[in-house]
Amino acid sequence: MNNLRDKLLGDIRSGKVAMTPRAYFVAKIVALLAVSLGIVFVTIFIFNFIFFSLRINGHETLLGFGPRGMQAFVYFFPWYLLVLDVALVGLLQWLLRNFRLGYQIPVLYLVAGLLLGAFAFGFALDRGTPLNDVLHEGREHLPRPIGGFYEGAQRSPTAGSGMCHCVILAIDGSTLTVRDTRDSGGEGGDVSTLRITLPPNDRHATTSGLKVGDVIFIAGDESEGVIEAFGIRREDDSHSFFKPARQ
Amino acid sequence: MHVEQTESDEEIACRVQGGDIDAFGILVDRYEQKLARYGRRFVARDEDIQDIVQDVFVSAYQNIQGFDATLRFSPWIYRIAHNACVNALRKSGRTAFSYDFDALVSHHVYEDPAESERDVKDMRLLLDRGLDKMQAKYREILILHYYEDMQYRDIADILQIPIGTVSIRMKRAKEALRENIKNEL
Repeated sequence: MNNLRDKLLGDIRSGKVAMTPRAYFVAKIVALLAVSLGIVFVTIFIFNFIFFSLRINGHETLLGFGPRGMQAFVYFFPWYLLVLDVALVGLLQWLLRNFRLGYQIPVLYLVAGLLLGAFAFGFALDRGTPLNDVLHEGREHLPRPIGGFYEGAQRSPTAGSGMCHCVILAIDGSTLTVRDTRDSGGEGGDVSTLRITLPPNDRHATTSGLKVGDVIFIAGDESEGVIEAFGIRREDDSHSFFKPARQ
Repeated sequence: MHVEQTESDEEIACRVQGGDIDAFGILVDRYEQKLARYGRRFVARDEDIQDIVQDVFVSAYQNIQGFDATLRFSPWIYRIAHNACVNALRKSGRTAFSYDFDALVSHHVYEDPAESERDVKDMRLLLDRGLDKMQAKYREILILHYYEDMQYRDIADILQIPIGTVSIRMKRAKEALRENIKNEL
């Protein structure tokens, strides 16, 4: 005579205790997988967007401008997007712990693997496909929030920021005169000229290889219409280094 | 009766999934004593254990359709029992389950396949003396291995942690147990 068994079987037969249908568990797994997959896509998209944002604003070029450039890169990096991505990966690893494979892998390895995978796919998506450029061109017609992302992606450097996408008008020794279009938000707006001075013997800021008419990206310290540059790169060069120039 | 004894837990669970209510009675018979023993040692008290065991079986029946019959039944039902015991400990406020940093990185797995019956008996004697004073996470892993005869891979499935974490936690649990007993003497 087993009291517990008899009580349990009695409760089951009377309908007091009922079995949850298999469909519930199947739906739960499908929902978990769908949410996990959705998070994977969003995580990859955000990494891809970070790379696009760095590319389109020329911020990644700062990495080639020595310690000052690195400092500026850290300042301009969209940290909030990275924090959002890490939080999503944290949520993803927590969801994956519902699966055997998820809890068999140590937490740090799982998080590192997911971040690395999303980082690599995001990079490949930005540099290997025209997706971002196409979405950016058609940003006004995109649904929210993706449209909002792309509308705010390109932030033109403001006057006084020390950064500029400019066209060389004249080269005189270690001084450049460039067309400053920063406040106009692009070509065709108000145009003024800007003087760029280059420190002697600085491999990051040199006029060698530059000619009148070149489009350049400059970073430096700006004061009263003069930028003392700590880094210059021709736009074509930065494209050839990071991504083939679009025709 | 003969069929009941030779049939595996997984086969019986399949019958329950198919609607055989009496088959669930066989699982209750097979696991009631084991789960009560596990609960009594893990929660470290006698009262409420019958209620906890009953809740475990109710939960097992309710969720039996979620059991994957290609895996072993025993870790599955012990997982339910683990959750019930952890909840009981939390409710009573007698333990604080802190984050397990051992689950962050991988550890070398060392499970002694040649652990003799005598080693196990000696360990059980030590456990009888020092188990109560141990942290719940160490107490549980020792109970599962030395009283419930669970292999490391089964313990990993019950606690849902990597097998390397089981190994390092077992090592730390044994050290803590020896330290407790040494301090007592």
